[in-house]
Amino acid sequence: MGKSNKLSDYIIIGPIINGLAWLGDITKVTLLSLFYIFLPPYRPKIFLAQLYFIGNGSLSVILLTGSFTGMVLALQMFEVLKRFSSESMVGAVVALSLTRELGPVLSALMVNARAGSSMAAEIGTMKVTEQIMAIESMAVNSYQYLISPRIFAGILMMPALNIISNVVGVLGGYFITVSLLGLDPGLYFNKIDDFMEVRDLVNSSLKAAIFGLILTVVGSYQGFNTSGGAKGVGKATTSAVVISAVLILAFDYLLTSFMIQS
Amino acid sequence: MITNNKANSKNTTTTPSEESFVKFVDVHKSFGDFTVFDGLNLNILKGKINFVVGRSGSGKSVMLKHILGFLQPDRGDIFIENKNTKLFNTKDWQKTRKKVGMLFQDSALFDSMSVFENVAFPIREHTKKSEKEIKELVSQKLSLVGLDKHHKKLPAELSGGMRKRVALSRAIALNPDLVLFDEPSSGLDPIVSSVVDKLILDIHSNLKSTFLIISHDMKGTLKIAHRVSMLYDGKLVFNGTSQELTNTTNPLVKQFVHGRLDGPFNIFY
Repeated sequence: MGKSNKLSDYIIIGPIINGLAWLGDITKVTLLSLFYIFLPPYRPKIFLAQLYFIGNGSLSVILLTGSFTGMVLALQMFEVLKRFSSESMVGAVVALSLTRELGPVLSALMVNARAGSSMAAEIGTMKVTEQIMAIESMAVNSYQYLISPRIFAGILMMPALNIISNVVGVLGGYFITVSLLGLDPGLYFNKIDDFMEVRDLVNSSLKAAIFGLILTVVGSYQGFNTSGGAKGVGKATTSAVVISAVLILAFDYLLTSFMIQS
Repeated sequence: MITNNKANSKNTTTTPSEESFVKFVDVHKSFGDFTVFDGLNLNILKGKINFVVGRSGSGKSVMLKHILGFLQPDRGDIFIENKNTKLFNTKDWQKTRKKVGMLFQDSALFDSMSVFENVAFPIREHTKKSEKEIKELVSQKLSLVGLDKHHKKLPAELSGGMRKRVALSRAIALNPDLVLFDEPSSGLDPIVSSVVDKLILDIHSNLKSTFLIISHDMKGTLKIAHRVSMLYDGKLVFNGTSQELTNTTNPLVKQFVHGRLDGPFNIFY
């Protein structure tokens, strides 16, 4: 191999240049794919299939994650708040923690592990077997055909899954604190009513929608950029899950700081 | 007409009566240090079965990618129906691709779709036909390749030869003006290869379109080609009929046609 003069081949500058190039490209693909959602031809069948895949397919995992998170949170909070004789606040703490943070973040991480990885593997396999080139060769826009319906379905379905996760989490907390630890049932829900605001629900749904966008874009994009056969598909799948998870956590911080300030 | 490296100039390959569908004029293309085209001049004749042969890595598939606009030449011009592709925007490429059908080397069928859905894909995307009309058209295209009774099967349930035939049906679904074949007989046994060759002939006589077939199956080439071009070292080294290919005295072409080890070819490249 001859000497390369490319900046991207240098030790420290290389990863920075490659990272910026990745960021630029994925931003372009995201904006284009979002734009294509509104342009004909519309493909309702593919969109509905993606809604079903992301929504219905992730339901069981969301129900389990949401309920166990609510239960363990209630258990921990009951023990802590009891020290200050404030165990009546458990319902509010559980509901606020779930709605503001744990609901959207954990749901997104679980959907990412299930649907984001699957998107990367499916699109990656299509790439290495020339199916994406076949789509393009038939004068069909592959971003519009493959990425746009996934993004749109992710943006719509994640808030729905998040609400379900929050509801089962609050009910799980109720079961632990009221049925097992003996808290008054009225107190549990009254405190939720006292401290929760509509803004919490709106912000929670907004976060979930943005996480839905992140996990579908990264899953599809990594799949689109797969090369090198089966090993490449595996690599794309792993990178999609890891990158999405990191971005979801980073964006959670950014969105939270923005939402608290506003 | 036979050309060699020196004779590889812009005015080769056609007589005035032979109109070209695709024309490569002094095309250069490199990937890093590796030169694929080094001043390629080539005409793909309208309405004919054009074969382009050459060793693996000689740039045959790269040529198809240039015709579909997936790659652009570093230098030189490519004309499709006398229009310079350098001036094409995205819409022009989409228009051109609608007129082109492509049979991929590994078929590239959509593995999540049935045989029927694969063939119906371009029809659904580019026409406003009713479901009944689509069904009739898909059945007609599948019966052309003898697969009318396999509508519901998935590509994974088919043999390599059957997948090729489905891919051929999909490629001709919209009656394209130009059909590109990327090594249609690779990975097939000799009998299935002959079946594919016969299908190509039958479909050509049915469609009367321009066929561009890249291949290194010399038996099939000699049998069905109207025109054969050979690439070597990024250039056109032969252009003529099957008969002229058989009778050529060009040592490079002779060695390739007969698959000999001794000759001017650099075997370990």
